[in-house]
Amino acid sequence: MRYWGLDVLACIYCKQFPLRIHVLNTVVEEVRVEDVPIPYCKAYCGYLSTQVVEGREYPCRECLKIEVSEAVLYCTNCKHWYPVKNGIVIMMPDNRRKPEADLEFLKKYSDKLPNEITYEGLPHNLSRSPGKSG
Amino acid sequence: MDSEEILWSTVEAYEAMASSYRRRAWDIVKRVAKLCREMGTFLDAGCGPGHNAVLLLSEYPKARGVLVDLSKAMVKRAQSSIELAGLKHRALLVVSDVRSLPLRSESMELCLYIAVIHHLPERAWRINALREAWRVLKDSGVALITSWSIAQRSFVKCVAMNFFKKLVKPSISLGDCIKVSIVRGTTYRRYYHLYTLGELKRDVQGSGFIVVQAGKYIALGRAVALQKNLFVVGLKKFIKG
Repeated sequence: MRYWGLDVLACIYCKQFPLRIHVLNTVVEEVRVEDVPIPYCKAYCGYLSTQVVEGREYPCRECLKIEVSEAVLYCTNCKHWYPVKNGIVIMMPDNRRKPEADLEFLKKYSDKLPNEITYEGLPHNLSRSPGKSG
Repeated sequence: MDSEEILWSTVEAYEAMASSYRRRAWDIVKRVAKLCREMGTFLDAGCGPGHNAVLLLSEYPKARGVLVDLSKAMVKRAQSSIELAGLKHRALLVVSDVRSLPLRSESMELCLYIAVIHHLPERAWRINALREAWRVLKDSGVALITSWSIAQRSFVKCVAMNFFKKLVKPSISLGDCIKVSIVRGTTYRRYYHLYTLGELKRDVQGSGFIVVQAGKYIALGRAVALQKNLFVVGLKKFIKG
């Protein structure tokens, strides 16, 4: 995903907007960005984590080159977290998420993520062992 | 099987088919896109291998697209088509459920619901999915909704069976059918709710849209016998009060 995803993505449970991003891996890619309208985003600049306001300058050309390949999107309202894996945002309903895969992902990045996600995030977190969730 | 299981058996079929699934973009997508005031951000819900999104992103260099599908394998397919076309920075790929879209309200200029709502086994879910399209569209936003028609030769038997079952159990819907496919030796069952045009228009209207176009859709270069798709174009208009 590119950061502009945060200009449109909302929580599937409570529709909270914007989601907070914790970037874990990025790749810089060469793309043609000369014709890009600035600001590229309409409501929220995910790259700077600020609302888009008129009359301000935004680094859209720089931002659009950055592919966020791994990240966590977090809803500060209902505590749901959603992984971004290989550039794909995964926002599945709770009953379709695999606890093992969620826990493995959290473990892998536990040193890069805040405790409110790794130990309190929903639907799965590291405060419970696999198989005992729910 | 309950409705949730029926839906997931349909998703599993697409997971299995993803690697060999090929679709051509629909020319109706281009026609409907022209109805938008400007092409900013669009949603392609049930994007499959991404053929229609690739078409729109290529056609509109300033557009950005959100591609959503419940099948992870399909989203991966879409990702490779998008990358191959050099459109990666303008596409957002999301594995998610059309019954509760992962998008903020009033963020889209266009919603494509191509051959997606007919896979939802409950009428309430189909209406929900359509209301979600309405919610995420901006004022004057446009939605293209297509579904399979009940008038298809391959489903005559199923619809006739439903007719007789309905005599005993009135809650049965005539258009509820299963399509069986065999992929690499495994049998998969995809659910379809086959629509009549009147019913599709009613559902779209009932979700808040103004229906501006509706009819049978025949893809260019296809035989007339294959007119299995119905389409409705809905417009979102805020009523000034």
